[in-house]
Amino acid sequence: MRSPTGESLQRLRIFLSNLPASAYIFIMFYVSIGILIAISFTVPRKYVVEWSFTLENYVRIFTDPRFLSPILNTFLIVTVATILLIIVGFPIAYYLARVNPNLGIKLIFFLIIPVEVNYLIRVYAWRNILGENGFLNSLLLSLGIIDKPLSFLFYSWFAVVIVLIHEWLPYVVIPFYVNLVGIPRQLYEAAMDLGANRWQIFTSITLPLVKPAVLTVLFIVFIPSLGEFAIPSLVGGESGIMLGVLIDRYLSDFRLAFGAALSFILLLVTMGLSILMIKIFGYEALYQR
Amino acid sequence: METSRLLKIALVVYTAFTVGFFIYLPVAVIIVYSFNDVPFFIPEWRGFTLEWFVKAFTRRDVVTSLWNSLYIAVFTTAVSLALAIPPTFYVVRGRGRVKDLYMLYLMLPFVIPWIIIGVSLYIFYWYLGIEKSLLTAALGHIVYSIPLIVTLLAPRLYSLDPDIERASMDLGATPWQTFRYVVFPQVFPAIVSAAIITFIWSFDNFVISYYTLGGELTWPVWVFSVIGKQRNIFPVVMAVSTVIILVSTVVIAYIVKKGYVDIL
Repeated sequence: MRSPTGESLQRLRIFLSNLPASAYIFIMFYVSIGILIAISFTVPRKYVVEWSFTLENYVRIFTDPRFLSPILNTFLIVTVATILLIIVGFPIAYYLARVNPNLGIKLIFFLIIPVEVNYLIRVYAWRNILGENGFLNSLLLSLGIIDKPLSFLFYSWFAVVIVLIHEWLPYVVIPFYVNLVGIPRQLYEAAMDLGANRWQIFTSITLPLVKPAVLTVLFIVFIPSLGEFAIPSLVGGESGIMLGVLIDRYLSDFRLAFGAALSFILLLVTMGLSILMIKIFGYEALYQR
Repeated sequence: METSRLLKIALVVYTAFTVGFFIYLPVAVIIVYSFNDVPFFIPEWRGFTLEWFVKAFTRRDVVTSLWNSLYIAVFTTAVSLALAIPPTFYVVRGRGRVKDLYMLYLMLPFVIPWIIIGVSLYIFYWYLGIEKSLLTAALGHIVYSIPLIVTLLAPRLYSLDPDIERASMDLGATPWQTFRYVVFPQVFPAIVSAAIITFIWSFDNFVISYYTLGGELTWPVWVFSVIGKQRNIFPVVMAVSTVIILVSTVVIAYIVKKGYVDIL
């Protein structure tokens, strides 16, 4: 039995042990975000911050198509990439978990190895595959399928999508694999005993039970990719421009107020989506990994 | 479960193609062409050389950037683990509305794109006049690493039985002794895999480092700064990548084989 003082001592202990992390996050995240938000409402000046309130930055972002189209482009590219990732990744996870479980964990290991190469370098390797003088074009040229190099393969939104899929595929296969392995075999046996066919089993057991993995993918692929700037700036060209590229452009030009406003829009959208998903599905969605 | 033969064959072919060809194509290109005797990249084989390996590891900027990345990753992993373990217990064991709100407070840096952490710290350091360095970059990595570790550890902590800890305390162990001798051995594999993932993510982090580093660069930032501008740097980058693949594959294989991690 615990005495009331033991109870409050326990509470104090919990509070104190959580304090360092909480204080750290408070200063390094919430305070710095606070400053970012404050600066986004100041008059746009280069190199300095002039502390007078204005909505000028936001008005400009929402009325000028030069800003709106990269923002819409960002969502389009990332949505397409995420859908393709699930379509490409799910069968691999299904194969590893259900068809060939002995191979499963070994192949997961092989999926991790490419991740060890920094994604910027993999991006560059893709350039040597998809670029005008790359493998694919030289192969197609030598086979006589095309008579001049295909240029849409690189410096385009197509390249951004390919590179995003390559970057994130292991992070999609692994949560689906973990999820599928966790479904008890008896469930399938029971369904078959009750006369369900393969398609019915797939749609009424497998699909509903992999929902957590879909959420994980949204959290670790969709949301982070919305802020991607290295990939689109290296391979995106004009058609593959994304919000992250714009943010970086203004920041490296030291137009902080405007860069901050663009960042705050990205923050609001991603935070809104994340909180919505957490409210609907709970934090368990984050735990699957 | 019975899967039809045709579906099975289709899945084998598909998996082999996607993993073997799509996933490994750029990696294979990097490894093979790091030995190609041409000072820049062309899709053509001109003979075997080790020149790029020698060049890579005698170049001061390359070696320094690798050490810097290592330093930041070790620092980030150690500090984040120490900071993140107590909140993980609270998040797993706590109940009620306060806990839910605290969870959101803790998780928010993890469910937004990294560029926002990078940009806000860039402005934060500039505004406070803090000079940027390797340390300021590591401090940036810790912001997302704390919630990352919480999400990695929490599922394993759910399976711990609090009664065992109560028994240990009833038998006169202090909270620290209980953690050290009762809890820690049970969560050790989970902590190792969380540490590995935190380390790899920090070593590879580009966006936050890019905005929070001073004059000294990490490996990914160095790569970004030279790769578009110098045509003859790519063989060196490929050589370093080949070594990184080799070393990390051996290390991960060892750890997996030793059974320190359940699922990576």
